[in-house]
This record gives sequence, C-alpha cells and structure tokens, in this order.
Amino acid sequence: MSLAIRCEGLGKAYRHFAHPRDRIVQLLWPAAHRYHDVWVLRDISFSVEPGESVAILGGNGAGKSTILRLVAGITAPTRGAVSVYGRLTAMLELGMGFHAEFTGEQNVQMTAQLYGLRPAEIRALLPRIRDFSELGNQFFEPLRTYSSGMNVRLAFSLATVVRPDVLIIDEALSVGDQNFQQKSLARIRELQDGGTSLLFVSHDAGLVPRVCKRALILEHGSLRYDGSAEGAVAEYALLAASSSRDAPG
Amino acid sequence: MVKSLWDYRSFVWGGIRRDLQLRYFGSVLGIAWLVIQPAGLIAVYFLIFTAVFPNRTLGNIGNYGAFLCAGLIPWLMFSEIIQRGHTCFLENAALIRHSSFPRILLPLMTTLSAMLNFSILLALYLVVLAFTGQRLSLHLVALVPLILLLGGLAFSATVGLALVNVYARDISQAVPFGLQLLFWLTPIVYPQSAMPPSLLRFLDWNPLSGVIDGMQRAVVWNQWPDWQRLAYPTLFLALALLLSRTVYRRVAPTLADEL
Repeated sequence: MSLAIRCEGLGKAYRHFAHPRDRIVQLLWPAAHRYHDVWVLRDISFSVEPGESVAILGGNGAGKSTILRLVAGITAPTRGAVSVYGRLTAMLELGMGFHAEFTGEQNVQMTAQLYGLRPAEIRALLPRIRDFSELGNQFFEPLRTYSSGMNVRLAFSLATVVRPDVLIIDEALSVGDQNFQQKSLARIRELQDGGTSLLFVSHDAGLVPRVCKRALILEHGSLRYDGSAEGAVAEYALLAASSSRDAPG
Repeated sequence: MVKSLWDYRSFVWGGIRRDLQLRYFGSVLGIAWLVIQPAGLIAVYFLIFTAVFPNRTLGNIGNYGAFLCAGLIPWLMFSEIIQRGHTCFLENAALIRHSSFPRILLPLMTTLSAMLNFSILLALYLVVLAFTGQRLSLHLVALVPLILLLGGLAFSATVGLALVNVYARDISQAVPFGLQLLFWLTPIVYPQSAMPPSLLRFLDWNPLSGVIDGMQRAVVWNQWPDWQRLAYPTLFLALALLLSRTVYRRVAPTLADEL
C-alpha cells in the first residue's frame, strides 16, 4: 500500500527555560538539562493514503497546529518519526511567510522559488495566481496594505496553483468571504480528484464532512478519535458539551 | 550544503536581488549608495591619516590611497556580512515558521550578497587606482582566494552568532562593539609597522591580519601574499566552520520553535 503521510509515535515537547541564561548553557552543553519539557503531543500514530483527506479537530491547545507543523517539516518531532511522500505545500498560520514590504507579486515569486519552481514556470503561474486571488492591481502593492482576507486569498491561490501531493491547511478555509470559500472548496475538490492528500485543521465543524471522509480528534495532545468525519463531528460536539459543563461559570 | 544551495539556487539568487531592492527602497540615489558609502568612508580615513595626523604612523608605505582601499573594502565586506547576517534568523522568523527550507540558506544569502557587492566595488576601485597611476600586476589574482577566505570567516562567524542570537539577544548588543574592536586590531587604516612591538601579538592572534596583509601586498606592492601567514586564518576557518556546523545541527531542526 502506498502512503502519502505516515506518523509513528509522534511526540513533541517544547523546552521551557526558567531564565534566558539557561538557554545558552543548554546550547553550549547539551548534557546540562537546564529546562523542563512541556509536552504538547504524545504518541500520535496515523497514516494518510494518496488522495485521502483528513481533518483534525480539537480545542485550543490540543496540538492541532503542532501536528501540521511536524508533518510540514517546519520543526522536528521530539519522539517518533514523520514521513511525507511527494511534494508538500503547507499553508500555516493563515499564510505562507509573506514579507510585509514586498508586493504580492514579489512574495509569490519568493515563495515559489522556495518551493523549487523555475523562473519560467513562475512567470507562467503569476497571472493565474493573480486571477484566482481576485486581487486585481492590489497584487502589485506591498503586503502591509492587505486585509487579512486578501492575505489568505493570495496564500491559498499560491498554495494550490500547482497540484501538490500533500496539502496542509491550517484554518485558512474558514477565513474570507462566502464567495471565495466556495471557490476554494471547489479548488480543493479538483486537487483531491487529482490525487492530492489533504490534512487540515478547521474550527468550523460544519465544514469538515463537506471536505473529507475521515477526521481525527485531539485532546490534550493525545489522539482520541480516528474515524469517519460525521462520527468525529458528533464526538467533538459531545466533548465540547462535556468540557463546557465541567468549566466553572 | 552544496546540494541544498543548488536545489534552492533560484531562491538564493532571488533573495540576493530582493535584498538589494529592499535596502534601497525609497531612497533617491538607490543602488548608487553601494559606491557612495564606502567612498565616503575611504575619503574620511584618507583625510585623517594624511592631513590630520602627520606621516609618523604611515612610514614608507607609499600610496596610502591604494593601501587604504586594499584593506578597507574587504573589511567592509566582512563587517557587512556579520552586521546584516547576525539577525538573519530573527528577521526571517515568518519565513522559518511557514516553510521547511534549509535554514543555512539565510546566512548564506547575506554572505553571497555582500561578497558579490564588494567584489564589484573592489574591481571598480582597482580601475580608479589604475587611472591614478598605481601600478597593478598579475599578483591581483591572489585577491580571489583571499576574498573567499575572508567571506568564509565571516560566514562561519555569522552562522554561529545568528543562531546564538535567537536564544539570547545579547549578540545584537555585542556585535557593533566587537566589530569596532576587530577593526582597530586589524592593520587596515594603519600599517602593521605603526603598531608598537608590545601590541604586535594581538595582530598575530587576529585571523584577519594575515588576510588583509595579503590583499595589501597584492594591490600596493605587487607581491604575492605571505603564504605561511595564511595558514593560521585557514586553520581558523576550518575550526570555525566545524564549530558553527555543530551548533547548526543541534539547533536548526527546532529553530522554528524559538521564533
């Protein structure tokens, strides 16, 4: 069986240092152990097949974004291993690391270069990205003049203009106006039909069954549920209800 | 590292161009500043050391203008790499948090950009020198390995400083002073003969002394570098690269967590 993503026993701890000085000691002398670990993910295992789409549900601080960052290779896991097969594109924290002083066009060029596209390919893609993002002449203005919706539109258009084997999207699908959301969902379906595996996080539980058949639920850094999207939404609703009942006030 | 540079060549080249664009964005003279700034600095040192101070310090070095350019332009390259490079991870935090490219590309881009700019600048000054009557010779080819050596020293220092700077911003506070100290401990605006013998060993400890001396020999005196004196900076470079590589390997995989 071929795979698109494979996570085995994934764990992630962020190091917490009591004092900046301890960081330097730790850097120069790894055996010093001048920190304590804050575990945000524990023993997460799952695989995603080519063309399969998986949503990740969970409350704030459950570790959803951390999983996406590990799969995208932004940071290394503390335990376990993650493998991605094929070309990966990631849209994290509602963006692609755009630079505020560069224009939309320059940012697209920079990111496309980072993804290894040749100059001639990038030139051919620029008008398509500009059209899809509906930015018009704003495309040639610096990013600092963009609204957050425009920012997401540009990032999404760039991330999906070339079909990746694995597409990672953090929240971006529920931002932006209705019209663009419809358009992005249509584009996502095109990519799925082409064989792209999608791994995404959304706070909009209603969106999940529309985009994928399978979903994971994370609770306090552990995998609580891995199954059908409908089942996940129901389970997540129960979980949210019980945690709000437990919460004081 | 060589492979990652090749895979990301269009990103690196694009980054060098964007760096220039961003730096002179909104200035009237634009890219001309690349020449004006060092020219102004050279003029200042030239005036101070030929007009304000008597020739006591200069001794018999001949063409002081040629001497000054031969040392000062490479120094400006070195100092720019460190000045601009030691914050490269902090400045590109957004990019690091969004993409999984090899982090080493960021200091590499700064280094290559400065090496390119100052090599062009050095060539320009050599043309000017030739017109003012300075005799130039084939010994100038020694400048190529010397610039690479100097760029390598700056690169390895920058990688180490930039990584530590992510953990402790003290580096940003220390760098300007450190560069000043290093500048005056390198025979750039004064000849080595002007240094009192008791202080001479500081020049010997400084790996830049031998490199700058080699450049001055090639431009001013039409001589080959003192190869033996270059053994120390070369060894220093090897150790510095090894050390910065060790720190890089330890820190780079989770660098995004710290930003």
